[in-house]
Amino acid sequence: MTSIEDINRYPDFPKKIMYAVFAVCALPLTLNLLGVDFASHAISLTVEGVNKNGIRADDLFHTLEGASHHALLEWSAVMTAFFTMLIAFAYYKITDDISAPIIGVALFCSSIMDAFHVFAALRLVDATAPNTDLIPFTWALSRSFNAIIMIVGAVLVLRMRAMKATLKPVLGVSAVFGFISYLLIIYAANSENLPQTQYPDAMITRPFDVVPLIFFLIAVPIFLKLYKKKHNLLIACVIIALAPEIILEAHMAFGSSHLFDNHFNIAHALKVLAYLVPFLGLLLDYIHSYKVQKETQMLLEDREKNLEQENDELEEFAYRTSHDLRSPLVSSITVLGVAKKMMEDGNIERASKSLELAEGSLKRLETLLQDILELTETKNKEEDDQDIEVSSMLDGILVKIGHLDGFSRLNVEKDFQFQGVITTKSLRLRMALENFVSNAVKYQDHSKDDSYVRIKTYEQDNSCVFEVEDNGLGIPKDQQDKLFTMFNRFHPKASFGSGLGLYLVKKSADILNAEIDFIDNGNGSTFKLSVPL
Amino acid sequence: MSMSCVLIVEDSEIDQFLHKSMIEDYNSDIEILMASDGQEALEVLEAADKVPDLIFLDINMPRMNGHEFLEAYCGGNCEGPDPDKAAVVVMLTSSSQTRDKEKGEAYDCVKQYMQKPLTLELVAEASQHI
Repeated sequence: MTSIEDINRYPDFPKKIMYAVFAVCALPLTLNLLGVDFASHAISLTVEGVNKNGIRADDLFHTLEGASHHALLEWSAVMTAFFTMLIAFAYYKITDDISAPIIGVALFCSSIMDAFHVFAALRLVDATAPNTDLIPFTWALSRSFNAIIMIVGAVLVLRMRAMKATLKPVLGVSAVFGFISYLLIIYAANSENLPQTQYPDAMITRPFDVVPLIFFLIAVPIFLKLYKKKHNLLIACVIIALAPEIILEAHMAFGSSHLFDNHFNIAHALKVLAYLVPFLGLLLDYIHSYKVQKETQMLLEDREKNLEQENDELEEFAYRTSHDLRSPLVSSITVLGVAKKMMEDGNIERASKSLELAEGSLKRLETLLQDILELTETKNKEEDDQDIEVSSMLDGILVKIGHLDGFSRLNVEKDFQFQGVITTKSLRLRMALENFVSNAVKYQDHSKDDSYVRIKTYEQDNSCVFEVEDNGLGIPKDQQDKLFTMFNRFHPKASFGSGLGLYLVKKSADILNAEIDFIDNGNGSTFKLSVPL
Repeated sequence: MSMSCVLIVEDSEIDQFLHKSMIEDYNSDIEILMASDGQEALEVLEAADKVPDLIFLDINMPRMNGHEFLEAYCGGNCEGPDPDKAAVVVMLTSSSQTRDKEKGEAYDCVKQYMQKPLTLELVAEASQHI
């Protein structure tokens, strides 16, 4: 049975996602080596062209190709971050895990900066600084801001003692960060003196991008530490997302020398990936949490059902024992009174008959008590598996059963095909088999001259099958569905048992993981017990 | 009306003996029919020349218990079997459970619920229902 521990186990590190992300990160460079160029090739408007053809809308679009690619990629990243934040809050609602909204909000804050960066680049907000300076500068600013806010978020989560933390400070801090990002971009956009950001001939083509590169490298051990503390898929995916973050910064710092060139576009595309991976992490964590919730609910329902069943059995047990214990006692006391009176009257024959009945009744009471004790033991006793030599165990049972009345008139046929050893709980197996064989003796049909019990063992479907067949009284067809329930006796004239025997067998079989079968062989009963090997 | 024929439906040999002794002590002229369970009781009733005046019915019996007997005897009708043939039923059991009492008394033919052991007083009391 699945346990709560199994369900609540930590999800494994998403290695497949990691490999896939690494592959996507390596893909652009690989394609570059194969000759693919990702640069935007804008067609500039020329004075001759404008004089000749005028300004056509198409020409304007072609001129803005690089800017459009840039805007599209940036906006995709912004939207991804926005949805990541939304799903982070949904996840927080389910799990109360504050790390999700912190990381979600951190991502979103950096994307707000990306948004202002793209608004400024598209001149949708007032900007005086030329794009050649503004875009690389605010990009580096935005990336550094992204790395710093992620680190701040991680440190916050690391320093929080309890899983549960309130959302308000997170929202407050994020509002402050969002406002700061707006101010930074507006300041940069309206600055007259932005520093030179691109050095096409140097080894480090965009030195400002070294700063976020260093921050992202610093973030790696911090997030690894965080993952050790909190094994969730979101943090695992944030760690994975650091790969595209670092690689995209390397593309920028060491590759991109102009706006919208090959490395510029690759870096922007990788940024979308870097934002997408935590989104995926949250989604996976969300699915995982949902599964855990569902499995827990199913487990609880199962347990409730078992508990209800056990309660019903317990109630039935209490009812029947109170009746079955009281009944022979009351009758015995009464019959002993009768015997006493008969003796006083000198009716020795009737007195003797009364005493005989009292003795029989008390003996049955003892049998019932023994069965009740056995039942309690069967339910509660721990027993280790041990090696059992099947044939000799069955011979032992036959010797034990041999003292029962009527055993000698039975023809005992043995067909022990299974000659090996099985490893299982010995006491419970013995108890079940003793019950089968003794029932064949007790409930034999005395009107038949050829009463028999056939005991077979054989191997089938990786189980050792014990089969006990008789031509006794059998079980009435309409009672067969009650065969393994408590306190059921099927033969009014043969009142030997407590009606607990086959119920005990069923309980033992459950513990042995064995299967019980009953076959109405038309001439008596066949019971099978299949014990897994 | 006095009792002339009684059916005892009881699986326990000792209780069969006790009930029989008590009824004989009460009136040795009463004809006593015996059945070990509900199924046998139905067969006895079917085969009997006359309808017994009273049935002492145990509850916990193998094969067909007292409640199942009532269900079969009354044909699932709580008002009891054919009034011309109806026998008065007295439930006689060791069970002190109210659920057994209530279940039995839902049948009109069940006149009383008694706890074992059967005494002369209880036999006399049962005979009042005839």
